[in-house]
Formats: sequence, C-alpha cells, structure tokens
Amino acid sequence: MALLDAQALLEKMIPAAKDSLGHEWDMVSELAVSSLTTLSQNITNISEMAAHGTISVEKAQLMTDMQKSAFKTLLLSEEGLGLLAVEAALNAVIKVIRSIVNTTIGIAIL
Amino acid sequence: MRTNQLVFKHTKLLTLIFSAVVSLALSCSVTLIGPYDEVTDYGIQEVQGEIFVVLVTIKKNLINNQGQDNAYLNFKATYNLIEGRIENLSIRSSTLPKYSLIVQQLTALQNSVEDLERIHQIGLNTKADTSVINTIENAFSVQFRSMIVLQNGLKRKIR
Repeated sequence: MALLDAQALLEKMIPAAKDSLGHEWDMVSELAVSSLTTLSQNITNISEMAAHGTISVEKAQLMTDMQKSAFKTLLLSEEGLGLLAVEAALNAVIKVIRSIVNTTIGIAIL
Repeated sequence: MRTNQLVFKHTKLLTLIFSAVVSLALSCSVTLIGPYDEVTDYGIQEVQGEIFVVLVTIKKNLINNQGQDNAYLNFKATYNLIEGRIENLSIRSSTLPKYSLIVQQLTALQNSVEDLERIHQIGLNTKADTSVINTIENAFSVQFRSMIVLQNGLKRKIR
C-alpha cells in the first residue's frame, strides 16, 4: 500500500477549499489553513497506521469519518462567517441610506 | 413622442429605485444568520470540556500502562451524558430562527462522538492506541475551534 504525503495532500486541499469559498477565502484563510493542515496530517497518520496494521480497517474508517465531520464543521463555520460579513455590509449600506434620506428631507422619517 | 416615452421610462425607473431604497431602509436591518445564543455557546464549551476529559483520561491510562482502565464500560455513562447534552443542544438550536448552520454543526459533532464511542468499543487499551487518541484529539480540536470561531462571530454581532 502506497503511503500518503501530508504536504502533497494539503497542497491539493487548500486550492479546492479556496475555489469553493471564492471571495470569502481571505476572511477565513487563517482558520482554514491551520485546520486543513491538521486534517491532512491526521489523514496521513490514519493511512500509515492502517498500512502498518497498527489499527483495523474498521477503526481506520471510523477515524476517517471523524476527519470528515471536522471538515464539515469547518466549512459550516466559514459559511456562517461569510453570512455575517454580508449581513454587516448590507446593514452598513442601509444605515447610510437612512442617514442620507433623513438629512436630505430634514426630519427623521426612516 | 419619442422624448415623452423616454421621460416616462426615466421617471418610472427613478420611482422604482426610490421605492426600493425606502423599502430597504424601512426594513431596519437584514438578518442572514440567527442571533448569538449564550446557552448554545456555553453548551458547546461544556461538551468540549467533557470530551477532552474522556480523551485525556484514556491517554493517561495508556501512558501509565493502565490500559485495562480504559474498558468501554467505565466510560459508557459519560458517553450517554455527552450524547444527551448534544441532542439537547440540537433540539434547542433547531427552534431558534436561522440557526440551521449551528444545528448541522451539532449533528456533525454528535457523529464524531458516536465514532469515538464505536472506536472505544473496539478497544483503546494498547500503547499503540496513543497515536489513535492523538489523531482523534486533533480532529476534535479542529471541530471545536471551528464552532467557537462562529460563536465568537455571532457574539461580535450583538456588540
């Protein structure tokens, strides 16, 4: 069984995450890179343990499943942080509109 | 004739833009994700503490050559407690508006705890299992760090 290279795995994981997150990447890159580094190292360790027979196939599958759950949680957080950023931007625009309209009219109608 | 049509179109467009701006401003604020919930945040941190106590206990027993103390039955009640707590948090979160992301995170966390429990049932009593526990600990760290970062983001929203 060929062994996995954690760095090579990471180099493929980061661009994939970057592509899927688009412009939100800059905002979440720090959390994403450190988490993906940990997960790629974990996957490499699991494959090595399975290849050397240190753990059973069932244990390896369960441990891999845990990495998937951790990755899913990471993506959900990034989605949430993206929504928070969009929400903040929209509300800032609304605040400006309200201020301009009220100033122009001279009374606080909004 | 053509000038009149152009003026009409222009006025209509301006009216539409003005209406949109007023409607937008009248809507007060936009909410895309639910507000911060202290009970959920503290609940996640409580579960994190309980899971790490389990992991540290297992690891110390392995390091001290007391692998027999890692028998699944010694931890069964703790697993039930943790899984019950996560289920409780999921039910609460599912009743909160726009909280589906957090509910999905709690489901993923429940899956991880069930996987850990299954691994424990298979056995975590040899020195070699220390590497297994280290890998599991790293995965939980990523999972909890992600959840806490989102909770902190929600907390910043209310300030």
